[in-house]
Amino acid sequence: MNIDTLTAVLREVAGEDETFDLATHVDPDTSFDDIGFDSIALLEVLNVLKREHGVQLDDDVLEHAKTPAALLDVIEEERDAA
Amino acid sequence: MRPHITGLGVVTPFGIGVDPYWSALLESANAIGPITRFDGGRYATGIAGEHPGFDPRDHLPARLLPQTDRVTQFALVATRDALDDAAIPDGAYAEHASAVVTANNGGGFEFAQKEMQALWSRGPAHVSAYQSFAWFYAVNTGQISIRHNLRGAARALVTDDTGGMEAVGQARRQLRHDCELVLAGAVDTNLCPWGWSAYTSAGLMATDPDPRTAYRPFSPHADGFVSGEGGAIMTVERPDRTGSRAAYAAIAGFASTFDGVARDGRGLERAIRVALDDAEVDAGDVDVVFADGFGTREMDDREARAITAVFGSGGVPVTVPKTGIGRLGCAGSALDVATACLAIAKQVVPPTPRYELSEAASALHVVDHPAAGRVHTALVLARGRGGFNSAMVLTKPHTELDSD
Amino acid sequence: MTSTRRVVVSGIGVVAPGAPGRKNFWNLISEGRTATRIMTLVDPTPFRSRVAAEVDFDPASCGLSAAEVARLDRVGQFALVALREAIEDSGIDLGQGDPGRTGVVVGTAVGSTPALESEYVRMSGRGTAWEVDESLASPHYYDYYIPSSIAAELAVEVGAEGPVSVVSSGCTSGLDAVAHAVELVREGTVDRAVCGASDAPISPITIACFDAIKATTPRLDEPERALRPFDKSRNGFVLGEGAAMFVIEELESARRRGAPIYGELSGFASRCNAYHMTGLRPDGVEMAAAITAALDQAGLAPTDIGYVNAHGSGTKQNDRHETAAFKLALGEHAYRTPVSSIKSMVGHSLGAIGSIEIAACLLALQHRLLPPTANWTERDPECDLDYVPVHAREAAPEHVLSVGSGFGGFQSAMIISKAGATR
Repeated sequence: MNIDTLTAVLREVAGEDETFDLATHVDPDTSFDDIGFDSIALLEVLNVLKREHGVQLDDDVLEHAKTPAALLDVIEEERDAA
Repeated sequence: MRPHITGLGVVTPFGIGVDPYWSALLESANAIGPITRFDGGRYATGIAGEHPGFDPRDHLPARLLPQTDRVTQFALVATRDALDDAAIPDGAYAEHASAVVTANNGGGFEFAQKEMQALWSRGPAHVSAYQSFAWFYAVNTGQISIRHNLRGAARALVTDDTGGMEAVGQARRQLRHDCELVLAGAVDTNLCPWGWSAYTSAGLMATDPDPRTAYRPFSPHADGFVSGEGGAIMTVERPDRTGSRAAYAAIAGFASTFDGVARDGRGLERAIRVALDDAEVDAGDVDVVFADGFGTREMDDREARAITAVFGSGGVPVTVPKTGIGRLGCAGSALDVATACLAIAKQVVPPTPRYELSEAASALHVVDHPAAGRVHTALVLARGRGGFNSAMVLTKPHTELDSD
Repeated sequence: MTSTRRVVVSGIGVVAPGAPGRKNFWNLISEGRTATRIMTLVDPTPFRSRVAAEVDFDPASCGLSAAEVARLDRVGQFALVALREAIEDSGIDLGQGDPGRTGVVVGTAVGSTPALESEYVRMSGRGTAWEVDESLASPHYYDYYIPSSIAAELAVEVGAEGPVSVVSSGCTSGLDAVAHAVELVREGTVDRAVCGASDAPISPITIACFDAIKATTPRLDEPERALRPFDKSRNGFVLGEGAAMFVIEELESARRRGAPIYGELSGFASRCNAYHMTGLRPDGVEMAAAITAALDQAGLAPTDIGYVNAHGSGTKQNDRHETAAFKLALGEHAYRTPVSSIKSMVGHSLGAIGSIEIAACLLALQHRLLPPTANWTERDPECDLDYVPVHAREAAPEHVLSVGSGFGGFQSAMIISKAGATR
């Protein structure tokens, strides 16, 4: 998983909006809150990661992964552990 | 206390906004045509009053789109326009005194059909998290309250096609208690295969495939209605709180009744009489009746008899301006209230297109051209399948009719 | 406007998880038993949450005719059975007097969703086609589509010709529908009404959508202890089903006919958090505002409240939010007031539960017994009130508070008073 794939997932979940481009427009260390992702949107991100990318994360991951960069780190850790 | 309707937001098959809607009504324009949103040819009725070319991205933030059905997007657009129209100064009302009341018939049904398809063809993991709130009947009330920070007593009603008027009537009730501003009304659309088939399978809609003639309330050939989409949301305020801002109309009377087992049209007559009593006006004071115009012979005949029973033969001008757009589900009655507001504001009765009337309806004075003249008191009628009737009396604000 | 008319409940009918009927319902909750189990109405295997609180419902033995069973989905069947029990209980003859002075208000959050889903599955070839085959629709499909058909069914049953409506404000529907009917009586539009709420939401689409937001509990061991309101280990609600219906009337007319009076519906208010469709502001300010406004309407002070029937859905978020709201609205008195959630025993039946909880409050007043919060064993520092754990408690409050909270941000509060306790 790279930043572009995560961008695509975020777009799919939260709507077409160029401001979601993590590589160019958004600092991946910006909080989900600040880019307009609420709890339901983030749960849907987890659902999409699971069913379309085979990434299964714990329910409580969102309690510590508060930014796209942090979420990407958790995904990578899951991959390495698997 | 007679609340004032101060702002209108409408989405209709003629477009977004009051102006294109009103000018189309005056021309007796017809927006009914073949369905484009899905393959209408597969269904018993394949024509509808579609709202053309709606792109929600032109009106709403991208974040809202994946979580909302078309019906909620319409509702948010109409609400925005109503608030803009009313031009309520910032801070005029406390958050907890500002409320939302909407009606619904099916909720976010197209959204739900997509999720049903995901569930049944691919499994539960494919159901969107947004499905938990994008479908249910209260979705528009909730989304409107969030978008405009309206934190007073919220409500969502379902009473079939009287719903939109019931919501406006409920607004009046709440303004008498702990609210000072209510956003009230309804929008509706059944234009997805799953929603459409609920209507076609019940044999409710016209089978005449010609968009020009299929929906003709009070015609001797009426065999069903045509569905349209859209509706109206309006700002309703306490009259002592509107200051120098203009109001379209005052809500002077309102009544709802149920037919019971008889189903003879007396329920509608009773609603008319109770609403007139409530408004403290006589039948002779009414300048125009906006009829429900169900579009079947039986229902049209009942309505004609109810109007004639109260007003006498030819005793009041009657119009069914929805003829050119179809019945907008629960929202048609909210739009009719908005149309009556415009008629009072402009002192013009919008017409019903000219066509042959049935025998029962020949006792009605149906207005078939834009009729300029005194429109101080309007009566709006609504009915829903199963026996629901509602009637609302609107009066011109700041006249002798608006005394209390 | 006549604002002095007082509105009382003279009849109660309940169809709740476990065995239907008012007495069975009271026995279950007063004994602290739970009706949650691995679901049987739907194959639980594909779902994350597999527990439900189901009604052991046999329509025929509940007196429904074959025609009624054929035309009504489970939600309508529950409503009709509960209505008949309420009318019998109240001894009212609704055929007497002007039918235009009788109203009907039914609350439901999701209406006939299971029947709609069956229609969808059949007409779409199990989701294989976007265009559906209308020729495969049941003759009742339109009635399933629109829940006002349930209110119409009840109106025909009782011969009502006054206002008839469905209030569908999600999970506060059961409180809001009864409040709506009270408003009609209080303002003088009608003299009596039948009102209440019904929901029978246990179907794949509903289970799946709550799975998707992880609102329902994933607990699989000990299904009878799956829903744990206010407990530290709580992790979601359990889907339930059921109905409660009431006969309400103006106090003087109930007295004149010597009707049993369970209690007075003395105050109600609702607020909207305008925050999030499913999220709650942690401070509980809107629910607190609703409680305060309901107390005002009843002419009561926070210290008059002797019991709180909580929403207590058993999600992390809700129970924390609600506890904060009680403290905000009732102040120090919140710590002295017993609070319990019967959802621990009968699950969360969405729009119906508000009315089922009103029934619980009225029966608690009658029996002078507060139903407990089952499955409460471990204190959560954020939920530090008296939750009446495990066992019912004898008490004779004069006024009780029932609250609801739902998607859309809706917060409702109702005050129910012992007959004769107000003014």
